[in-house]
Amino acid sequence: MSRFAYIVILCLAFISIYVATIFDAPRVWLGAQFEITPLIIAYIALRGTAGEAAFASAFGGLLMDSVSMNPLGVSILPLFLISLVLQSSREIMVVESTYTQFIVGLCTGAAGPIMTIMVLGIVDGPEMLLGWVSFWHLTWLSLPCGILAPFLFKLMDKLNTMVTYPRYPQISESMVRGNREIKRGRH
Amino acid sequence: MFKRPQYIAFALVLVLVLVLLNLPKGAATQLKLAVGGLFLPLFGAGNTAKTATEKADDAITPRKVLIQELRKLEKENQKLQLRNLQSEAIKRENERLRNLVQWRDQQPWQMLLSRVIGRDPANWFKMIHIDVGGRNQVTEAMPVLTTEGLVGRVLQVGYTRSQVVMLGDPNCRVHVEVLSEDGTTVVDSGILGPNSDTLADPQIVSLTYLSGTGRLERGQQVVTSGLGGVFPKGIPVGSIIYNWAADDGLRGEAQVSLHANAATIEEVWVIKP
Repeated sequence: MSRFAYIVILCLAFISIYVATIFDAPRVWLGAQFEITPLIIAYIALRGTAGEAAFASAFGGLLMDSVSMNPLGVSILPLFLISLVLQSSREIMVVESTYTQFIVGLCTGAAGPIMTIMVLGIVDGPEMLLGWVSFWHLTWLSLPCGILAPFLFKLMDKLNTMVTYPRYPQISESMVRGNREIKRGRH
Repeated sequence: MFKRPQYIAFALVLVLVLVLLNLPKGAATQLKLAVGGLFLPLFGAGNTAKTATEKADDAITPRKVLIQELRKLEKENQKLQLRNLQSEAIKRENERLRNLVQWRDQQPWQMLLSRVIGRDPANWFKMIHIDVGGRNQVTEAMPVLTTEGLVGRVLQVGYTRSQVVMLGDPNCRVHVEVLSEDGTTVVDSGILGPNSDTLADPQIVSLTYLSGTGRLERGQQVVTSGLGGVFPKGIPVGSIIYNWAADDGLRGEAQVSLHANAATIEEVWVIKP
């Protein structure tokens, strides 16, 4: 990942946290707020190095906790664990597939809050407001992340290749013409 | 499964998290406010944009509407002035009676208007950010309310903004009294807290530890009792929706609909002691 793209993506994470703080329409209409920071960390984990993912997790986690009642540092570990799992399995995933990106978004959107709640339960933090409706919140948190993931990944891919050359040439239909096909047979 | 750089990154992140979680409370709060300070330019820009939008909206409002509004406000102002005259007489009488029985004088509230600039992005807390802080002499635990009723109390104070934990959050419980329908006698009292069964509706909270001796009815007003010393006595909180006996049969419980709509409030008042 280019340094320029990495910095811009971190800025995007910063702005997304701010937007989640001020834009409360999802909370008014559907009772729960969602945020795309785990999704951005997932992208960095799939495209970047372990160091980049760790720094992004620490940066995103600190910012998230600073505007929340969470004790400072609680969100870092869940974000990093998401990035760790994705990074260790990215070689066996078809990351370019829209379906894979949807599933990654869905799982990331659900795993982030679940793990944060678990960490909050372990540490001596403030009491949480949880109930049966929290399942609905969880569904609502994960679904938009799944839907947004393909768009966001494409946007960040474009950003990533904006100032650098792509790693491999894009294979198009015209490059594999029918008359270039080698017909194998007995003669 | 994992490679060496990932183990190193994991170790570093774990150390960072352990250090942050084990910081002394004061240092952790200061660090949190410092990190949150990164958002200040954005909060400022957001406020400016909102003010500009409001000004633009004012500029395009037709003169006819403004005159109608002005006449309505003038009538309302006259009514309030008359009511104020009556209140002044009652106040004087109250002061005279207090002096007779040598009770301590009640100080009028000092109010500070502030704008809501953000909300907690986490769904498991009910917290708002307001645009007043230490520079406005705001301190922790100050009550926050709207003209409809109590909102919550100040939780953390930065230099230019503060965090307010709202009613319905497990970290904001308040002792309240249920008034009779004419508002003259206290029917029962209990503790107002969160209601996890009705998380979908942030307006509804639980009233627990009621003595169960009083007869509660739908619509009865709930006000702060003044016990605990954080919230002054008599601030309207909400109204009873329905009540029932607790499982042990010794206590009563009720659901209360809050007057202040947590989802739509844009401005709040901070009460200074």
